[in-house]
Amino acid sequence: MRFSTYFILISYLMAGTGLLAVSLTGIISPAFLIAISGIAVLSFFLSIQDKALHISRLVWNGLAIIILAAGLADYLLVSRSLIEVSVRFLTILMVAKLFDLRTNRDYAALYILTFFQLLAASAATVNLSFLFVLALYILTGIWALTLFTLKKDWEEKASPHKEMAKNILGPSFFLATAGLALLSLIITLSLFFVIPRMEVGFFSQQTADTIRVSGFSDKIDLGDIGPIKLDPTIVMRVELPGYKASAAPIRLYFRGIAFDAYNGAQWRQTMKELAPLQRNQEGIWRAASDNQGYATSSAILTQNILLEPIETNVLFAASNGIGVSGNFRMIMGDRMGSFYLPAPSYSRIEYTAYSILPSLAASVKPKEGYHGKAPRQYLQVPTGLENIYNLARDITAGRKTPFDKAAAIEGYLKKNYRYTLTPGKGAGKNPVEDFLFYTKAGYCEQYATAMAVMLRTIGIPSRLVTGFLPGEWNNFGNYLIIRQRDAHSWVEAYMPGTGWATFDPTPSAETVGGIPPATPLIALYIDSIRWRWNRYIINYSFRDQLRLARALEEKGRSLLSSLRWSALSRQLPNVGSRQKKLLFSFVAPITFVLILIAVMWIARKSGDKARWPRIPRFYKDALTFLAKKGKIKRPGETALEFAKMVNREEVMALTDIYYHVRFGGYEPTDAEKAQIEAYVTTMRRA
Amino acid sequence: MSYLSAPLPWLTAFAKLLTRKKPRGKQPASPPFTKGGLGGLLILPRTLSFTKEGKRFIAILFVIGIAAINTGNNLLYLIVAMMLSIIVISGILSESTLRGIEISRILPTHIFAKRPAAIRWGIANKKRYFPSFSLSIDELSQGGFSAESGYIIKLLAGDSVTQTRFYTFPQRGLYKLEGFKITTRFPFGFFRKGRRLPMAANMLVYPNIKPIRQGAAHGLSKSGDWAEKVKGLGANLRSIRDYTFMDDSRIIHWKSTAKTARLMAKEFEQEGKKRVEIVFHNTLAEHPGFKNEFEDKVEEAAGIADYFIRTGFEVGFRSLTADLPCKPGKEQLYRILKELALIEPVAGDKALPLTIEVISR
Repeated sequence: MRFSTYFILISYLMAGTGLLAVSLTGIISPAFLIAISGIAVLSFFLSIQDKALHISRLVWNGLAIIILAAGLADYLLVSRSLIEVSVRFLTILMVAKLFDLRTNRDYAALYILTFFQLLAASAATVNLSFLFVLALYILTGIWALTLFTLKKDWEEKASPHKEMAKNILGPSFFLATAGLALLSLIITLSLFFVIPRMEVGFFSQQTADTIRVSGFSDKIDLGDIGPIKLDPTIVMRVELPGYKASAAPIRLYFRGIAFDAYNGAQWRQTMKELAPLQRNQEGIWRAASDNQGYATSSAILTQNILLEPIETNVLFAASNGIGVSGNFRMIMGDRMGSFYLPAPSYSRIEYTAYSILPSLAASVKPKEGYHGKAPRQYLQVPTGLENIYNLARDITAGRKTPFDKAAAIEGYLKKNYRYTLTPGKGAGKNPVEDFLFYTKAGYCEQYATAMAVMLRTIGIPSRLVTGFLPGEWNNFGNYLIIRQRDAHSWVEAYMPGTGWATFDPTPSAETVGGIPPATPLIALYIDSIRWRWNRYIINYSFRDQLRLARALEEKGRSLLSSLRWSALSRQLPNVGSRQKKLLFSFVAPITFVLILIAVMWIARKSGDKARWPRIPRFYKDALTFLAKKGKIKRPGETALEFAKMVNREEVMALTDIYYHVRFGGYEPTDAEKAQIEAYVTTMRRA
Repeated sequence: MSYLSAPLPWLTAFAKLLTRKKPRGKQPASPPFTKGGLGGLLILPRTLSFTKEGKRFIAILFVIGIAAINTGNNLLYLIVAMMLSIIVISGILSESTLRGIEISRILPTHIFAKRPAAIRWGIANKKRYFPSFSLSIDELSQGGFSAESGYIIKLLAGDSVTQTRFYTFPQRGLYKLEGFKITTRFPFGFFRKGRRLPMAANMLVYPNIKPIRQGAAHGLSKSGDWAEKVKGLGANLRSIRDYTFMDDSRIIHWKSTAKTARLMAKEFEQEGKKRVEIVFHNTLAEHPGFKNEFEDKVEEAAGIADYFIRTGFEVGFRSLTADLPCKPGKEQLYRILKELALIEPVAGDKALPLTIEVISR
């Protein structure tokens, strides 16, 4: 392949990578992208056949101005998004430039445009594919820039009109480029982790593809959650430090928000005043709810949560959440123990939530009565629920404590009702009556609402909670994958003396046979990569850097001390620890310096050997024997000079052979070898 | 473009302090020997300078760095890290290209001022595995003479090439060549990295030989008798005369014999008589323009020596500082030119101003 064709091809590959980068943003429609790619391919074939369109500089500049004006109009009248306009503008400009590649300056402009496309992609996407595009960009970029530099240098210094020889670049050149790209990627990732981060982000990254979620506004209609129960979109991933494999401590409920008022068809939050939470010294925003009684306990479940961009400002935490921490400026809380951001983030966020292990909550012995302390607002029920009251009373007959009564209702609902995502409509006065007496089928919302209402009718304060079930455990990354379909609602009932306890009257998926098909292993593996990408690249922060630095420091220190003590206690069993320390602090640096000197000496020696052929053995022997006789060869002296100085026949003859063997690559014959042996023997005996 | 001596970009500022350029002044007329002393100690093993593209690259890097800090966008941090890695890769590759390069010079035996001299360079890549790309080669000491630059697009590991480059020395005298500077923009053209390759050599540059007309040369004669061609047994033809029977038949000039229809004989010049001595009164004078006048005289003396040697004379040379006995041939010409290459005006007898005399011996 001619050099010029090779060069054009690589430049187009780089342009292709730029297009790939902008395609990640999702801003350009596939049809537009295909059209643009087709035009780019056409211009490539024109370029390699030297049939490029010769557009004058004036026309080109005019065209650029028109594209810019169109971009401005797009910004002001259509999209109103700078990123979107930039992506479109850059793409059109780049394709136009492909038809005007004449001078080196044009190629430089093309490379800059592709770089800006990569920049635009970095601002508009958080997709894992970005890493592959970046790797591809590094490969094509290194390739194209190297060729570009060679081309420019050749034209400036060698021969502007003569094409460079094609054998300049062979397969080895490509392999070397690929190797360099790999090295560059490794350096890139290494540098990425050590570049100091700051806890500032005046314009934090937002993404266009936010997830719509239901059930997390200040009111919820019965039936809101149903439609999303089949949606496999991932909402969050939760890592439980200290828990490997799927052995989560208990069945977890990732709590979103709670509702206190029910009007017969709709749950509402009447206590929706949010107050900023206080942050303690460890940087944890403490919940302002009545779960504080457990906060002194040490059995706390920590959850590292990576929340996808969702259209709510609710932060999720396992039941009995006592606090959250993360790179936030403020966290709000309501009186029902929920956590909120001041506004929806519209970007992927990472935070840590802390909850009391529910097993602990359950172990606290419930008391029998409320003694007038029951929160009154959680007992509100709409009128006309006599049937429901009667049913609740029947179910709880004979049960004394509120806990037992609640457990009885939970058990009754689980046992006697059928789970379905398509509950029909019955002849009841309200949806709860429909569910309890007519259809006797429903999903979590119906179950939870029925239980909460029944509890209230018999005087147990209760509320409806929406959130997520734990979802699927991914063994590849040891984390939980929580999807839209894991959205759930359950009941919290107030237990005298212990506070709010979680009850879930919905039959478990296993019981109702509603387990979604298992995700294929490959999909789980890909998701674990995606999770790592999000966890360690997209959401990498100053806190992670501190954590990394501390971990490295601790690892280094423990390694050093284990080495130190194992070495010293073996060698010096009778010496005291103080003396060992002292000895180590002297011996270690000296040993290190000695090793360093030895390594440098060996490296230098091997370097010398690499430069010159080895000295033949016979000549070394001869020099040794002569040195014993006081004839020492000085370092600056050549072999011939030394031989003349010694002035002996056998030395002259050996020197002659030495030159031939060492620098001429000559292999002595057997007769010559015998002669050499004889000379050396003579010298030894002399 | 200013060159900043530093092996790494972060040393640039420090290197700038160390290798601050000396004020440009008029170069001394005498051969430009390189300065030693403390300056030599401060020469760093590599030089590094930004190209225009490199400056833009660094500017973009800064802007994206600031954007990354402002937005906290880790993908921007990733791009910053990629750009930094490109700098690291650039450093490694340029170093690999410059390492293991050795250059030797093959100098011509005789070099004249004001005339291009062809000097051959032997360029070898002593590395075992790695080729070198896009090498620019320049003579280190550019003061006082000009030398063409060399360029190699690719030099395979263990390979060598020769290139012929023309040097032009404006003045006669002794020049000291320090070595070479090899530079490269490889691989990405963002930085120009250079390495010094010491390869000292002394070069004596003869004065330019001023062409001398025959009449002018004769006019310089003090006694004038050297110009009379005396009959003798030399090799050069003096005249043709009638043949006498006393003559050797080998001197018959057959062409004239045929023309005149009678026997004609060749008569030769006497060799021993062709001997001249060039006397150069290199007396120092103080008047303005003396320097140029002196150089003119040196070139004239070189021209006279060349003329007489070419016309078969034995030529001697005498000045206030040198005395060369009369000898014939090219070797004698070079001996005289060597003297003239180094001749300087000396304070002498004011009665003998700057002149050249040619004396027949």
